[in-house]
Amino acid sequence: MEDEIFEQRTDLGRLSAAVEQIKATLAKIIVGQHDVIELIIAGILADGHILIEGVPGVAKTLTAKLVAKAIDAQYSRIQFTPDLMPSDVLGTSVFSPKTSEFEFRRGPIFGNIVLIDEINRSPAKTQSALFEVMEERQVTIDGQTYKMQEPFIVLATQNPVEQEGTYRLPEAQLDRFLFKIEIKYPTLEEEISIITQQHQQNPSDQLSQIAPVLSIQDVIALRQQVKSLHVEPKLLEFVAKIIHETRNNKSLYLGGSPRASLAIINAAKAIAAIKGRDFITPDDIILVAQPVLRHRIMITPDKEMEGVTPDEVITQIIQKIEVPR
Amino acid sequence: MRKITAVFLLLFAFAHTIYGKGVTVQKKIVKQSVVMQIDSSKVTVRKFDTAAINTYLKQPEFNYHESDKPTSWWDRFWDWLWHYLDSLFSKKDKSMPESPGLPVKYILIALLVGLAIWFVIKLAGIDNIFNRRAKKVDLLQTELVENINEISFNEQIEKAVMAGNYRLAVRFLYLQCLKQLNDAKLIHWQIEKTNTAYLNELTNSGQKQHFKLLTRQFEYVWYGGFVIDKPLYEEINTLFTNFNKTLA
Repeated sequence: MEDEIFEQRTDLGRLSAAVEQIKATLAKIIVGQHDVIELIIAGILADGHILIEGVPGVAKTLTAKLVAKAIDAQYSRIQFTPDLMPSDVLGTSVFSPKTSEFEFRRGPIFGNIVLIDEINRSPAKTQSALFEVMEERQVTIDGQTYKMQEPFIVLATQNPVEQEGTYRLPEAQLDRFLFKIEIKYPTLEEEISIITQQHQQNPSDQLSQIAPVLSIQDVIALRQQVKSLHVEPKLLEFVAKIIHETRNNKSLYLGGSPRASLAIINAAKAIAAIKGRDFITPDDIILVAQPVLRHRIMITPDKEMEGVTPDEVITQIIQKIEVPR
Repeated sequence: MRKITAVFLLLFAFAHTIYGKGVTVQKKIVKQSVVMQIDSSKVTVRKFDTAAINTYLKQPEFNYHESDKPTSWWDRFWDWLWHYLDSLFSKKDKSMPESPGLPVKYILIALLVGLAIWFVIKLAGIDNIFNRRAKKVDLLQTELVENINEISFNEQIEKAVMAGNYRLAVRFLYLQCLKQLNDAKLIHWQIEKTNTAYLNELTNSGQKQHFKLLTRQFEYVWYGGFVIDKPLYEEINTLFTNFNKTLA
């Protein structure tokens, strides 16, 4: 009906088709987790890095690998371990006897889609190696700057910090992730479906079923489209109020940064585009508020002792603010 | 017997150690001849210049005599205060221990200084300097919160249409629709609820579909920034009027 009244300003047909295709491809292997997959796609379209958290065995790495495989781009994987050094991630200068000069040997971070598995198994020293590359899409070593190729997406997985052998990621790094997506245990029906579907299949066979859906050029073009979506000024104000409230909330001692405000807007745009709209609504903002903010805010120790979670505080904050209408 | 032997051996070893140390500690003393020097210079006795001392004594800096009465009213006030406090806390009997007047004086000074600092901080509006958390800023809710029960919708819609602001007119049409749903107890109006939340509150599937359509029109116009002219407004207005009739 709305198509009869309003003509679409942006053709989102290609984007919607691509998203549906990725969802269908992933659904062949991943049972359930529709919201997670949609958020990962939204994160990619919003030019963000994604942190996936879950207890061991809930298919975090598999989901990330499948999403990476759905895009025809240079893929690399880094397994973060406690003894990993920054040079193991970024690369290092190596002396070449042939030329008698030092040559830069690129590390595994040089890729379009970088899967960092178990990111919180490495200490802060190694994490700090990612600061520049995640924000500025470049690596500076020995005074030389190396630009990353577009698109550059970091898909990281981690266990909850309460798990043995994990480190808490630095706040500066957490802020560089667009989303922190939490993967929960499947429902009983989903669990039965997983067992039925996969007990006779080899994981490598499953991965070979996945064919790339999008090329690098497609991803860049879709990102441009998402960027150009319309945002009503009152909705910008709505986002600013949410972020401002996180900085003044008594349950929090670290609120959202201006980067978080931008992240909400960009993520909401991606969600709107996935839904076939070329403008965002308050619903889009509220939908992305938790995955954008939950890793950026920090609960006060007393509230943490009471068992209050970041998601609960975010919900309370949103409920205090009038929806612009 | 063995025990006694062991004790003797220990005592012998102990005595030998002490004796041995005593021997090694002895030092050789070397005697040196010292020649005494006698100061035979003549001593000239100098006397204070009485005239200079008298000149100094006439200068006000060397006047140590305190005047009995304070000069200004402020000094007189403080003098009175301290004397009064002294009289309160001092012991009349000199044989009693020292009066607590002096500590009380310093406590009072500290209290007064603290009070003065507190006033300055309050007046300057910087009372959050001791708190890490920034002063809570009131959200602009008062500016934006509209009570749909207090809006005269027909009047507002008419005004907006007359001004050619069809976008605003659609907004009032939608708010009017929400008010009617709230009055009919089909939804529970709250400022923090989104349109989708109201949509989910509706149970009648026919109403739900119709309201979904209206919500889309409103969202395209209000959030989407779509340009709307009179014919388009008339079309949307008809949709809203039809829905409102079902609620009446």
